[in-house]
Amino acid sequence: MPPSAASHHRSHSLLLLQKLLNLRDKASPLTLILDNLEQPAHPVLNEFMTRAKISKAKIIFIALSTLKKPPLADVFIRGRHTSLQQLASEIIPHVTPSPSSPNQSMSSLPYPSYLTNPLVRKHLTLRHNPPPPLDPLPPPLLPPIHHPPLTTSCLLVYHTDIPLLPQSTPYTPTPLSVLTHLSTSILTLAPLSHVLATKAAENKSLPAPVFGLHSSREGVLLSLRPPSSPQGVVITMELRRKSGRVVQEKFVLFPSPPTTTAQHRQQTKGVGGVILLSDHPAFSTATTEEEGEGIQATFNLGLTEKQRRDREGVVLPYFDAQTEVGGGEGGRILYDMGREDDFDEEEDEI
Amino acid sequence: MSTTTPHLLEPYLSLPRETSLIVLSSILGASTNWLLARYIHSYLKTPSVEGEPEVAVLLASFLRDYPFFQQTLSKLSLDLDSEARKGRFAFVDGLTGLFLPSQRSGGRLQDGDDLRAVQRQIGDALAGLDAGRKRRVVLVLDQPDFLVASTSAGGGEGAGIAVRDVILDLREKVHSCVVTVSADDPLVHPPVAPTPLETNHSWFVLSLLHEADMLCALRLLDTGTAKDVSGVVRITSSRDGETEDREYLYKVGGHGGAKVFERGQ
Repeated sequence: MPPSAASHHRSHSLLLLQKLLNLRDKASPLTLILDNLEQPAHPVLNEFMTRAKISKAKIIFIALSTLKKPPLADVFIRGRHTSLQQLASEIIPHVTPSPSSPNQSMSSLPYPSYLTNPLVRKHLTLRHNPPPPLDPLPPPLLPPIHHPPLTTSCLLVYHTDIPLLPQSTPYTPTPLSVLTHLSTSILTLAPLSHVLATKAAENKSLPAPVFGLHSSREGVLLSLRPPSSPQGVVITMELRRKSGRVVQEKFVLFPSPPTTTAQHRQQTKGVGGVILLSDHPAFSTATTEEEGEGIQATFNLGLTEKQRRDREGVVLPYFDAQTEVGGGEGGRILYDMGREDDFDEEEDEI
Repeated sequence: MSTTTPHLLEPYLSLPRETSLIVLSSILGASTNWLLARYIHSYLKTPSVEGEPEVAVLLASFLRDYPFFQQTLSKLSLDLDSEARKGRFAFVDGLTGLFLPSQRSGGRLQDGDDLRAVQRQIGDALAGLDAGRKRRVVLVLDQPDFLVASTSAGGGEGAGIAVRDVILDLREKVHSCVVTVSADDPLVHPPVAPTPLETNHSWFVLSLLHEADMLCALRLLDTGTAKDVSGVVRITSSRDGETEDREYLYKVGGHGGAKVFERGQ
């Protein structure tokens, strides 16, 4: 790819993710975040909430398994022990604009909700008919889609590593398949350190390492993350445009650490940094050779700077011949007569 | 062997912040009893700071009875009876009352079938601890995954959800919560054609882990058995980068002593 196209692609992809994270211009009414034990969704949720706070949007947090109200949330709704209808009736007053509400004038009114699978699952498993495509699982839970004048967005968190409970009817589609059908964008999360380790193994044609639950060691539930391991979340974004086109890209999100200085906080406003995964040093093609980790041998195969300079300075013998003759002039025998050579003129005349 | 708190574990045994959940997972052969005893010991021995409410512990065990904990903790020089008299400790026996013919006595769960009754009993015990004075109560649930199997819903759908909801409800009433669960392979990784109980147990354990702030996973030594090592404890926090992940070896000896050390020490 020529450099200009590459940089265009980069800025285009980054813009798409920024738009999604800022939930701007109805970027995505329903965003599904797929997380697991190795990479929970908290950093990404916090990023969404921090950005929503900056754009002065109202954040409604629907907790199905969280006990404590996140500091950034404006409204905290407990979703346990309530039926979907009750839950919806609790939510709707918060998203319906009232004339006195200052939020109404805001162009964006993001509405990140935090739904973990149990409720969704419970209610999906209770449904006997497969949900029709545009009437989603809990219809009242998704007011953003039904309220076009409101720019509300719904964020959903789904833990992919929790097994599916037995379904009441075998023909019911799984919650995950219903959710992936409905969502307008899907973010799949993975820890950066694991992605880097997998990439390093791939470079050496080794089998990919397995982590945590999958490490097939009894009793191991979470992988051990050494303190020096790189922080960051790899986000695989699948953005479904209105035209039907699907944009897929991988990013790395570096959440801003909670212990940053006040000045730094003011500069970044607590917003984390985002780069393309292909721009990460470990993934950019220019530096695939690992520095300082060459072939394991008892002698040194490398060159010092001086040795390299000397080697470049050596003029090889055939260079001389090439400059004198030049290309395309055919061959000529270059021979310097020695003293003992007997020059025979007649020989040439034959 | 020292019967005091292992020095390496000390940072993890201090009173956690509010609404936090600590999960201790065990497998067959690497039980959490010694670690749980140290948690209780550390909470009850916390010196009361002026102006801050006292720490109290409510222990509900579904696999072990009161004398067991009394003996274990007396080896750590903690008298549970006297703590109970001071109102800083209470025990709910989820083991003996569950399936025996009913013999009414205080602090015993009567019917393992009825999760509401379990929740009510523990709630009552909590109210008893909290009565009058403001205390920071730490709820310690020993092997509540047993309830997943014991409730009548265990074979059907939703037993895992029901038990988790009970735990969430109880957690709302207390300062923080420590839960021990079994995490043997068959209980966490359901086979290709799982039974409802296997799925429910795995569902329960994994959802609990998703909510946990810290996990202490005990397992056996990967390289086989050794005379001087009982197992491995892996301490991982919930990925927020506040505390470092650690892995230590431990050795549980006789007389309640336990030693925790780094690899190679």
